[in-house]
Amino acid sequence: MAGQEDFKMKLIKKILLITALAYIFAALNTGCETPIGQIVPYSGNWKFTFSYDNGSVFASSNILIQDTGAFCGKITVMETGNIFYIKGDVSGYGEITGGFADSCSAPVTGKIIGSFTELMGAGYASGTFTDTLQNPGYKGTWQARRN
Amino acid sequence: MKNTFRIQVVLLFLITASAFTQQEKMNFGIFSGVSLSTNSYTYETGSNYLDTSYSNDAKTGFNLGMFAAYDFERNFSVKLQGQYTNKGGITNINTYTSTDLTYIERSYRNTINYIQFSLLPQLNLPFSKNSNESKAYFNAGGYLSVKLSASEKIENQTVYQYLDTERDISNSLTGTDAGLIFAGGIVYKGFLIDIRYDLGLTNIVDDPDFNDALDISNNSINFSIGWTGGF
Repeated sequence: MAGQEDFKMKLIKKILLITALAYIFAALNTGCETPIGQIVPYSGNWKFTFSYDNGSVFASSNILIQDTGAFCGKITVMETGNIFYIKGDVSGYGEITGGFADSCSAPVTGKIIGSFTELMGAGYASGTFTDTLQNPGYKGTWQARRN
Repeated sequence: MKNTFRIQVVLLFLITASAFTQQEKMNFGIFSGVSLSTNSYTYETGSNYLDTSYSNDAKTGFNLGMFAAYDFERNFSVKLQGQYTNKGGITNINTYTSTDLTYIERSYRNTINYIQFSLLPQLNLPFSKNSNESKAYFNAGGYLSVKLSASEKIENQTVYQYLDTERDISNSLTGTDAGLIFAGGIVYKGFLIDIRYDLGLTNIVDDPDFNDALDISNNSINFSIGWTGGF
């Protein structure tokens, strides 16, 4: 009888120990997650469309905005097929700054400015771009929607 | 002089009788209840290739109001209703994980408070031939709502973390909403039970950034109890 009680107590202790360890592991392990307060509200995938001042489409691209707001995505100029990269940052308040580059690790030229906003889950961003050093015609406006 | 006096008395009698008759045909009521509201939600993303998923859920709300109904016939009335109600809905967005991108589910819970007026023709089906006191009824009509306030609570949930924020979205929504109402209920000895469906017909988004891409209308099912047995 006493042996049975000892066995039950040991079993209960084991269960409690495993539960406590699992809780501590879950509480401490946030995986590779960025602290949630540092994730910008606009993180995720967005479809950017760049247009010339006359309204014709210059290029479009699906771009991933990282947790920190940093982004780098490839765009292809529709008329010429030229490929380059759009690179920059989105702040927690939705302000975007960046420019164009030959690769994600290369320095930027030109300028992209604008802002992001959202309403009831729908995301929208717009602004202007210019890279007249690369080509005098590379300037206009852009729009983006959460994709 | 005598004739003038008689005419005045007859007129006074007719007016009083008419008023008394109208009072019998008129009834008033109060009601309160809960509602389940959803947003009918259309968002043009401009792409068929989506890395983000969208879904909509219902949220619970509250309503409180009063009405005046006039019986034109035994089986036909018109009800004028005024109430406070809160509508809205929940939109869930999942952003999938990727390099330097944490999986996150964002839940946008919007609450829009309205004063709502509705004009509801009513078909009455009395339970007894002699009395109109207890009956079943059906309504179909229209409503016009005036916005009082609107807010949005954003809940961010990752696998391990949670954060919520709240903001005012009044300036991004229209000041009014209009739609249709379909309702039915039972009045029994003055107590009433009412089920109502509000079908919003207007796009409530009024923000230049979203007018081309976002279309949201209010829908709600309301369950109310009330009193119409005299005050």
